Amino acid sequence: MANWTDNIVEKVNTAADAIKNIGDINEVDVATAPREVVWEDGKVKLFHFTRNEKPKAKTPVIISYALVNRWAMMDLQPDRSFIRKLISEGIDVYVIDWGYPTRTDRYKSMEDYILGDLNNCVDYVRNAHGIEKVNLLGVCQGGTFSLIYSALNPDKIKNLITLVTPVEFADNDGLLFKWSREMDVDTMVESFGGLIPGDFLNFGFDLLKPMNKMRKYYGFNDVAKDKASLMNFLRMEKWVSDSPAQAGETYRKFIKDLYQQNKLAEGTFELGGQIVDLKKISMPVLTIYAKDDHIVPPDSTRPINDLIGSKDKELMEFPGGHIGVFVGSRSQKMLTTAVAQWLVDRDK
Amino acid sequence: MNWMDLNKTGDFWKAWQDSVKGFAGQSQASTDPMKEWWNQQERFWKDAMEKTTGMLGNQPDLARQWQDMQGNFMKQWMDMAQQAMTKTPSMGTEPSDMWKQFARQTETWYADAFKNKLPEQLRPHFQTYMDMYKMFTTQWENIQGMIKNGLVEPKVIWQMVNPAQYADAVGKVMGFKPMKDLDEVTRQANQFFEQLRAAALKMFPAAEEQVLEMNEAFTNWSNQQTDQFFPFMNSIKEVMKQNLEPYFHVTGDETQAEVLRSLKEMQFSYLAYLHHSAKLQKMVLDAGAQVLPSMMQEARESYNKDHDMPSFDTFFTDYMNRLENAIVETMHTEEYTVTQNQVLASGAKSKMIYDEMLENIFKDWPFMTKREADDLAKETTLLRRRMRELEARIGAMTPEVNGVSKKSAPSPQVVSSDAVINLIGKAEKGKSDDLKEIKGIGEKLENLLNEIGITSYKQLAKMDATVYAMIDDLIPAFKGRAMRDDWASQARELLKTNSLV
Repeated sequence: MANWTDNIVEKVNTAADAIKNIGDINEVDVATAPREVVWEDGKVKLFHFTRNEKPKAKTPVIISYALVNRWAMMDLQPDRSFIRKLISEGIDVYVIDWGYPTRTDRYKSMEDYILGDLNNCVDYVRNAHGIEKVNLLGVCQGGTFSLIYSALNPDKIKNLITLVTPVEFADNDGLLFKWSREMDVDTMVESFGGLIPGDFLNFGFDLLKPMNKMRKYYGFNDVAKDKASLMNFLRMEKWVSDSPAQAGETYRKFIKDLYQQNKLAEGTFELGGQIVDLKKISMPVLTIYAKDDHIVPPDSTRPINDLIGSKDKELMEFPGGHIGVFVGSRSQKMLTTAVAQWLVDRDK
Repeated sequence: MNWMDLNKTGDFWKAWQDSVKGFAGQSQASTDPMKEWWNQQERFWKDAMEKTTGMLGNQPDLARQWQDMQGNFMKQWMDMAQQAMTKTPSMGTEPSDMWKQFARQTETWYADAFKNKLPEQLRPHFQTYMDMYKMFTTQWENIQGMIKNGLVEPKVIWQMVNPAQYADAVGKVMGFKPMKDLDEVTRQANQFFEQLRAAALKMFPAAEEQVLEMNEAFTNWSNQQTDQFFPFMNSIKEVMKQNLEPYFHVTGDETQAEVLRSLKEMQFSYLAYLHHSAKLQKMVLDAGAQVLPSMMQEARESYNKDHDMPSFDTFFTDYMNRLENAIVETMHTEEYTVTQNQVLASGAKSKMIYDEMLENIFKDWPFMTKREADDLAKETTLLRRRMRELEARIGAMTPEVNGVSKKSAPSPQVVSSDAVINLIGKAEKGKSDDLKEIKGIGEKLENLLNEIGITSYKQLAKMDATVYAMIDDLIPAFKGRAMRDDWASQARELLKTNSLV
């Protein structure tokens, strides 16, 4: 207790800096990399990121993010942006924005997302560039979509990258998987009026590490006295709270066929009248997972490598959790460079 | 920055002024910056009032000026305070209550300002964090005292640390709806449903009477008003009344019986929800309640050995981690999974019955119910799917239409400009119409069409669905535009008009 004076002085000095920092912030901006809408249908948009130089790889990549939360995670802050870095590494980047579903979309199914929107975006890019095949990069749920799509359309995909993507739903100890296995999903979908609220989904993720949503505030005064770290903290907060609802039919099938019956890994998953056989995936595939991912544990991701038919396939592990893998400084630097290099190497 | 923030900041400064008044006697110098600051404030507001009548937030320069003023003053004041404190040795050894209070105020204000910058949905999480933090800061002296004196039995601990505070904090972390006494909550829920049923028994005739009565009263009252607004509103209301009146009687006995049945069903599923929730909450709270005593017992042992007391920060962060581990361990049990799913299912069922009840009440009313909206959503999705199939079929047919043999693997650039021109013909030599006259065609699209070789209304007039689909493939950025705006009809109209001229 001897240095209590210092403590108080420190506190008030911190507060003095924070007055300015907090007062200065009018808007928290995320996803600021320049881009334009090149295709849209209903609530879904395809963005093309503007670039100044010719890309190193002539085949562009389409990013398919999860329906849960927003792709802004890939461009959260200007100095730590997966997308900006990918662009600067010479990759031509598109991203699919799934939009914010409303009750009108309650019957929109995985078929509509994958065989409709995703396919239309792929066709748009093929046409726009006059090429037969594009690169596809899927994140989490969007990665599962990409796997399914690539298995059904191997002739349209040149290279496939999945990031923190669940494919094996049965054989792991993740809480989300455990709970979903016994969930009465029909009742849930019906009672939510066919639209699963983003808050409900977020709540489920939060529960996995219940103190996380509070623990992050520990030391908030240190965060706020530095303007840059305050902005980045608020950017992450903005992203976390920006959670679209999910179309009931899509959610129902995702939970029932995947979480509960593990159909994709077992080769019985059906979409639009076709059985999805992951062995039909023959293009080069890069599978990336995060070592400490508690939302999509490595055990649910790694089996991708065994289930696909590709000869050229690779597993990469990066430090961090489900989100940290994208924004952690160390992993981000290595991760994006690795992804870009992998794509450039396979651009012949 | 908005007005609210400024107000809050203002409150803080005011509180601060009050809390430092006590120092005035100890150091004459401490009053000078205060005076100067008040004068500055006065000048600023006088100036600001002249410049703006709206919110200060609308005047970024003023807001910035104000902000700088506060920041500079605070720095100045801190220097002064530091000097004053080092000059007064008695203050350097033991924090006075006034200083403690001052530090706490600083922290509270600061936390509030920070919270206001967080997205609204996350503010409760931050508040929960602050509550838990405060619970520990206010109890820290007690906790240390108990550790030093070996008072680490759970019974003793929960006498000093309020268990309700603990339950409240954990409940918020876990998203629990507070449920202190299950018997009491059950009794209240039963009472509530009885009241609802009683109300439903007389609901329909009463509702009609009430609406008519209110109508009457409003008409009388608004007729006495001189303002134009009221007669206008009244006329709208009259129209609505005339339209709604026929429906007052359709929600008859049958609906009433169904509503009463729904209420009974809902009562039981809601009670089930309450009981499952109580069980779930107890499991989690019991698991977490072990953490503080066991941490204090460990601290006691280590204190016995070498008189080492953990720092507040270590103890607090350690508590959060260990509390989480204890809860997560419980969540991994089969019993937890089963109970959580029971909570979800019974809660969802209550909600479904409620929705069905509303559906029944409103089914004959002249507006769209949820169920009808659902039908519409279903139709829309099916139509989109059908459209997609048709697009795919057209896409597959196009090469054959043009006499181009179909390749085994679909090629993205099968549609060529020539194929389009084959179908709609070349433009007459030197003939070029202003395609921008067509609604939906701008300069960019006109240029793209010209590139294909489409320059005349005559060509547009010959287009049909097949050509539209080909145009879509050639100019994907404007996909669907040709069909949507029906270029062919528009072009035919223009040709007709032009020939008249």
